[in-house]
Amino acid sequence: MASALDSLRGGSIVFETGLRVAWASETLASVLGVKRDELARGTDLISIIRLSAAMDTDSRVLLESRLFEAVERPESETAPIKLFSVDRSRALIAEIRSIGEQCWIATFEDITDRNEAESRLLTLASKDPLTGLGNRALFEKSLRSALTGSPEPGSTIFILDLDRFKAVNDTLGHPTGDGVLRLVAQRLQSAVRESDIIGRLGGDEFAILFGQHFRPADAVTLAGRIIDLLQRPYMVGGQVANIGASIGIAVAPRDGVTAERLIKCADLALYESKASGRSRFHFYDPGMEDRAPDHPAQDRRALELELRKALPLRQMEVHYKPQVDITSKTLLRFEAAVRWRHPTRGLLEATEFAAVCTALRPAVRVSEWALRTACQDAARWPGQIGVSVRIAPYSFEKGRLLDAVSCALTHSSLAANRLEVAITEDVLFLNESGNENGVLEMLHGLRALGVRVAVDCSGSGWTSFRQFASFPFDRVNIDGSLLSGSAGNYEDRALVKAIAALGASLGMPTTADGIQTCAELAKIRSEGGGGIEGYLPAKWVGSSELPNLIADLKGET
Amino acid sequence: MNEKSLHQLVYCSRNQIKGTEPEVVDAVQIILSSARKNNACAGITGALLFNEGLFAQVLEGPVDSVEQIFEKIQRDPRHSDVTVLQSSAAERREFSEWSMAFAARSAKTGPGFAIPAFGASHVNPSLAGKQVLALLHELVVQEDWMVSY
Repeated sequence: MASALDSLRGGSIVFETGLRVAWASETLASVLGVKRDELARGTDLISIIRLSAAMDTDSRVLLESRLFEAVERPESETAPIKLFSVDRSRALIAEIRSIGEQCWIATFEDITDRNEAESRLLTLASKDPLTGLGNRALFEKSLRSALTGSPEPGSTIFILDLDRFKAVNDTLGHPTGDGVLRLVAQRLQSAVRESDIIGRLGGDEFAILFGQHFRPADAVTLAGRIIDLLQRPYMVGGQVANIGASIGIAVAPRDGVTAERLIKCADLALYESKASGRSRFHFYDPGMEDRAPDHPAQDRRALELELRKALPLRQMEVHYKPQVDITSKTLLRFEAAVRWRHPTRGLLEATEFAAVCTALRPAVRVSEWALRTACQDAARWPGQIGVSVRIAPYSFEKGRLLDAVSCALTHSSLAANRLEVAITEDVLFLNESGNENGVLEMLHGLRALGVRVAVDCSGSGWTSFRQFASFPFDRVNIDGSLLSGSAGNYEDRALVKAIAALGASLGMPTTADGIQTCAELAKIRSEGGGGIEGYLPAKWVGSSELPNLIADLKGET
Repeated sequence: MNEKSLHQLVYCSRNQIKGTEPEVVDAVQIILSSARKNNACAGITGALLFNEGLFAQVLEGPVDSVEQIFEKIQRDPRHSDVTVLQSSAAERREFSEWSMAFAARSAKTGPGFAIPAFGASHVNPSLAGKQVLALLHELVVQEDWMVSY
């Protein structure tokens, strides 16, 4: 077997769960540029890739993400990918295949000399399929050749990042977000000369390289024009999206003479634009080095990459908070929320890591995993104690949620009526944007599965209260933010009353987070809060603490 | 055409055409005539209102065409600060032809509609169409809700 694989002028490696090496071919060490003993059985494959001299950063990142994808979804086929050495003098093709239960093979083939294949693959691998723009690798290559090719000064780059794009993805859905990205690419193309090069660096980040005869004054005019152009409304699939753009500008040779340096300068200037209020542009100046934290854009990319690994590395946890009825002191259910035990950043809440991630796919996978885990945990709880899982709006994409919920129920054997799916009111906002049937169908689909459906109101999307009446929710929950502080402000209290009254008039039980005592509950009721219910104050705990907690709570009642 | 996919979009924006009032009217006439030509092919109808400070426009037609025209309008430097007032599916067209109204603010022309194309054409918008126009008219005439230019 070894000799047949090695005859490919490459090498191969077999690995198992946890990305541990099971076997590596004789030739692989030289192909990857690592020592033979660094490929020993049981070694972490990621650490080998980190050591490899045969790959530049982009290649490494790509390979790592493919490896995680292969392990997470063994049934999926992945296309071969191309990896470049740091100086781009050598190229490898890597392919990952599942070869059995929890067992995969990665083959590496050195294709440096295959010019024809190289040029073909380079074209394929350098286009961003969504926008048709060049990707990061191609943009960096163009920048490198612009910087080496001509002695004339003045190569200018813009790095731009969309503001509020994540909100568009979350509230209007991924397909709409993709449509917006395509229009952004077109608007950029309409604003620059044909000789200027635009690239999509990833997520919602773009870059433009301006050729010769481009003066700083041009940059000022054009940056203003692009910001204006990109912040105009977008219409995709009948929905209207509003985003903005911030720009960072770097100029060669003043700010740097290498591609890496210039991109770093533009990134720092971009950070300055974001930090000073968005929809702005800044030229790089050396003072920014001190003001910015270590590289926000790279930081975000790193976190995104780490998020992909979080599930296979078992860093995700589901935490629980008991909902004990204030009046009857009955333990009704546990609220479930996902936490990320990050190796260096500590325990992160979903909002902390979702906010920095532009790529939704890993986030969706995490929320599906959390749903499954919560159901498995709940199936072990005694009696009729339920579990309430909050679902993010983007999970509503293409019927995915229904599949995820029914899968979670089947695998855990949890009785459907013990699961409560809590949506946020943003999801109802999807209704208003013309997606009405989709969301209502989804809610009715959930109901048909026999699960409880709750809606969580924080007041932010309250304008959509008309849609609120369009589905008979099992529970309307008022977010703790509306009751925080001793009294809450006047508008918030009015809103709480309105929600409670509306819930009552529609026959939907209403609950509120953050009601601390019976006295407070009585006060809200007397102010017109009708049949509102509250829960005893409680803390979030990990699943290992649940058996004791349940015993304690049962003991008290 | 499948009238089921009818979409109506209403927006207003800041007029960036500089010049005297007649010059602005001329420039808008040019916009309108090219709009009439392009929009007829795309199955788009609607109305355009303007004064020297603001544009307000209704576009209606198949959702794909409305999207394309709207995107094209976004790239036009002759206006800025676009605000979408309404974007929704529509049951029927409120404007069967292109129409334009000029709502002046200046003392010379007096308040209300001076309607060079609207009145002269054979257009007769439905009641709902008139309501949309009335709304836009209000916006354009009482533009103090927008930061003055």
